[in-house]
Amino acid sequence: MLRRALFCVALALVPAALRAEPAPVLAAEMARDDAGFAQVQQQTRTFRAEVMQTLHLQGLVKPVTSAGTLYYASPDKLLIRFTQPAGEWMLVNGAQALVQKAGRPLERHDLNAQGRAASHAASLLDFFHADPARWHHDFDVTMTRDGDRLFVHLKPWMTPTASAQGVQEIVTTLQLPAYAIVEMAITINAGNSIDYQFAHGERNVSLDPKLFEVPAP
Amino acid sequence: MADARPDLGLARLVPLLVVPVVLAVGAWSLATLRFQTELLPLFPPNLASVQTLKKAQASIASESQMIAVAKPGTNPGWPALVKLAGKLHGQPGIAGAEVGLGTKGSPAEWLAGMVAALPAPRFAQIQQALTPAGVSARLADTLSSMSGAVDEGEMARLHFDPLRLNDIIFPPPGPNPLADSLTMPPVLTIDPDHTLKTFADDQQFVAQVRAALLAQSAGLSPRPEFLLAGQPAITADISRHMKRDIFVMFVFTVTLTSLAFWTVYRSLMPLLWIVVAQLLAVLCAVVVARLVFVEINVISIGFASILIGVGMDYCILVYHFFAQAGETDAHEWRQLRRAIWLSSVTTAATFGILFFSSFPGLRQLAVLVAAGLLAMAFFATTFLARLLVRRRPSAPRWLLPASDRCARFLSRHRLAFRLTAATIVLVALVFAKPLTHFGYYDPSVEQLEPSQLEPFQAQKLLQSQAPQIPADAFVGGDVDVNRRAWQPVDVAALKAEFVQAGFDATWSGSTAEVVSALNRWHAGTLDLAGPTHLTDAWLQLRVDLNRVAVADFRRLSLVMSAIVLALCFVAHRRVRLVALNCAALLLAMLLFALMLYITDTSMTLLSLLCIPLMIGLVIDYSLHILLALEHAQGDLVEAARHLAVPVLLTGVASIIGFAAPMFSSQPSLQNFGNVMDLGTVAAVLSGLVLLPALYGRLKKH
Repeated sequence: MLRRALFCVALALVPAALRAEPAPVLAAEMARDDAGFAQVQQQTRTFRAEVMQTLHLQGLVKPVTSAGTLYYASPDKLLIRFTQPAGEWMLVNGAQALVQKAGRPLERHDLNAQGRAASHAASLLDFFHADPARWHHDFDVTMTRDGDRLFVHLKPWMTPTASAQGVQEIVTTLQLPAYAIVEMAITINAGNSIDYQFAHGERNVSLDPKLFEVPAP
Repeated sequence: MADARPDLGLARLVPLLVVPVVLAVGAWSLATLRFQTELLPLFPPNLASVQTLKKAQASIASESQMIAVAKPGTNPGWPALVKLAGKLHGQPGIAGAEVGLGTKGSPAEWLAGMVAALPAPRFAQIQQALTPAGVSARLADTLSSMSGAVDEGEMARLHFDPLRLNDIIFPPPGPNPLADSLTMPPVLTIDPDHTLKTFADDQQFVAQVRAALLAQSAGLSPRPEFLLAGQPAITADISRHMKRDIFVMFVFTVTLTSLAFWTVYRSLMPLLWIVVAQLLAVLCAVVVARLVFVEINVISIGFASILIGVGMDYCILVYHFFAQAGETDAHEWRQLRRAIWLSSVTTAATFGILFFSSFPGLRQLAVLVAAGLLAMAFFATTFLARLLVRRRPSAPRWLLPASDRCARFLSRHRLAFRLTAATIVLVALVFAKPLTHFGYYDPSVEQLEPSQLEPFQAQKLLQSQAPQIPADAFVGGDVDVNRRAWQPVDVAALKAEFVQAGFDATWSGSTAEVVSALNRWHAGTLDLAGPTHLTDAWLQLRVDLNRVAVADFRRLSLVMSAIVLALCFVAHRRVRLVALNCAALLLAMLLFALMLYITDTSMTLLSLLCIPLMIGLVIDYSLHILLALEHAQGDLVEAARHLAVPVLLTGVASIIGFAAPMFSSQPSLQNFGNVMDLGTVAAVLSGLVLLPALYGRLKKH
C-alpha cells in the first residue's frame, strides 16, 4: 500500500521534474534576437490582431477580461477597439493618448507633458515600434527562451530620464522564428497587472487611416 | 478791554496729577496690549457664515500647527516629504511633522462631509446605494466598468470609492473633487514642542521651522521652496507688520503734521508741547483699548494717526488764540474752550456713530478715536493752554496778511466760485451715466486680506491645489435634516457584501470609513465641517457682509443726516443757513464721487461706512464757517482771521492723519485711509472755498 502511494507521488512529480524553467538567453544571442525582432517590426507597416485583455487587480478575487481588436500603424499609432465591452477604445497617435470609456467624457493625455507613463497603451506602442537602443536605454533587458518561445523581460531603470516609470515590469512573449508577438504582460505594481494575448495577427494589412484619427476637442 | 489772563482753573494741576498717571498707565497698557491678527473677528460674529468659517478654518489645522506648502514645481513628492518629516522630528522647537493634504480629517471624512450636505433627493440616493441590494448592484457595475479601456486614474478612484458615491454627489459629467484630492500635492504639517502663548513664541517657532526646513531639505531634488501657512505663521507675520505699521504711521503723521504746523507758524517750543499733548491723548486711547478691549485689531492700529490728524484741530485753535497780537480776553477764552469741547464732543460723536455699526472692527476704532479726541480736547485746553499762557507765542507776520489776501480774493471772485460750484453740479448731471455705472462699492471680502503676506499666499496656493467643489451642488441641502434622516449602516455587513462580490478588505476599507463617519455624525460624536462648508460659507459670507454693510450704511447715514440737520437748526435757527449747510454737503458728496471716479477707487465693506463720518465732518466745517460769517456779519476777511488758517491746517492735518494708514500692510486700512482722505479733501474744498462763495451776504472788499 505504501509502495503504491509512493509510486503515485513519484509519477506526479516527474512532469514537474521534466518541466524545465525557461533558459536565460546569453548576450550574443540577445543581440541577435534584438536585431531579429527589430527587423521584423521595422518591416511591419501595419498590424492587426485579436486581443484578449486581462486585468489583475489586487484585492479582486476574479480578473476582469475584455476582448477587442488591436490595430497598429508604423511608427506611432496604435488603437485597441473593444468588442467586449462595446464602444470603448484606447488610442495612441503621436504624442496624444486617448481613452474612451462608455458613458464618460473622452480622456486625453499629452505624452510629451505627462510622460509615456501616463498611458500604458503607449508602452504597447513602444514595443511594437521596436527600438532596441531605446529599450536598453530605458529598461534593464533580459531574455529567456523556452522551446520556440522567447520571453523578453523589461524592467525600467529608475532614473530621471527613463520614460517607462509607472510600470514595474513588461514581459513580452514572442513566437520564434517569426518573432510574432503572442502575449504581453504589464506589471504595474505588486498585485496589479494587465495581460494582452494576441491571436490571428496579420502584418501589413490595409488599414483605414481614419481609425487613428484623433477626435477634435 | 482790561488784560485778564484766562483763568485756567484746574488746568494748573494737570501736569502734576494727570500727566504722570497717564504716562504710567499708558506704558503698562502698551506693554500688555495684545494684537488681534485675524480677519474674521472684524466681521459681525452673529452671522452664521462667520461662525461656519471659524469652525471650518479650525478643520484645516490646529491653532499651533504650521503648514509648509511647496511652491509649484518644487514639490519633491510623498516619499521625499515623508523622509523630510522624519528628519524634522526633534529639531529645535519642533515636536514632529506629518505629510498630508493640509486638512484635518481623512479623505473619507471629507467625502462624508459632502454627503451630509447634500440636498434630500441625492442624500436618499446615497442611503439607497448603501443598502445590501444597492451595494451588490453598484459593485457589479464597478466590475463591468473596469473592463474595456484601462484608465489608471479611474482605477485609483474606483479603488477608493468602489460604490462610486462621488457620482451621486456630483453626477457625471460633473467634477470629481475626490479624484482631484487623490492627486493633490502633499504638504507638511508641523507641530511645536511647546505651547505657543505669545506673539514672540509664534515668531520664534516660525524662525525655527524655516531653519529646520532649509537645513534638512538640502539633499532633496527638486529642492523644495516652502511657503508657511497656519495660525502661528499668520500671527507672527501680521503681528510683526502691525508693530511696524503702527510705528510707521505714527512717525509719518507726527512728522508731517509737525511740518505743516511749522510751515505756517514757525514756532518750535509750542510745536513740541503740541506733540506732547498729542502723545498724552494717544496714550489715553491706548489705555481705553487695554481696559475695554484688551486687544487691538488690524483696523484700529490706524487710530493713532487718525487721532493726531483730526485732533490737531484743538491744539491749533488754542495756539492760534494765544498767538494773536494784543491782550487775551478771558471771556473769549471761555468761549473758545466751550467751542473746542463742543467740537470734540461733536467729532467724537461723529466717529462714535461707527460704534453702532455691525462690524466689531469699526466699533473698536470708533471708541478709540472718540476717547482720544476727548482726551485731546482736555490736554489742549489744560496742559497746552497752561504752557502757552506762560510763554505767549506769536503768529508769523505774514499769516494775517496772507489770510486777508485769500479772503479778499475769494470775496472778490465769489461769482467765479459760485460758477465753479454750479459746474460741479452740471458735470455730475451731464456725466451721470458713466458716473452712476462706476463701481463705487466693491463688496468682495478677498480684497481685505493682506494677500501679499506669505501665509496668505501659502493658503491661496493650498486652496488652488485643493479640489474645486461647486457650491451650487449643495444648494437646498440641510445638514440637520439629513443627520436625523440618516439610517445607520452596519459596517461589518457592508464589508461582507464586498467580499461576496469579489472585493477584499482593501477595496471596502475607504467606504467603511465613510460610512463609519456618517454613523458617528448621526450619533452626534463627529462634526462634519469639511471643504463644502468652507466654500459655501465663503460664498455666503460675501452675501451676508454686503447685506450688513449696506444696511449699516443706510441706517447710519440716515441717523447722521438727522443729527446734523438737527444740529444745524439748533445752531442757526434759520432755514437759509441750514440750506447752505446742506448745499455744502451736496457739493462735498459730488466732489467725493468725482474724485473716487478719477482715482479709480472703490469703497470696501468697511470704508463704505466712511460716508456717515464724512457727513459729520463736512457739517463740522460748514457749521464753523457759517457761524463765523454770521458773527462777522458777512465780513469774510474778519471771519477768516479767526478760522481760515486753523480750518485749513486742520484739514491738512486730517488728510495727513488719514493718509498714514495707506502705508500700512493691511489692505482694509489702506482703503479706509484713502477713502477718508478723498472725503476730507472734498470737505475742505466745499467748506472753505465753495461755501463762503455761496453765502449770499458777503461784505464787499
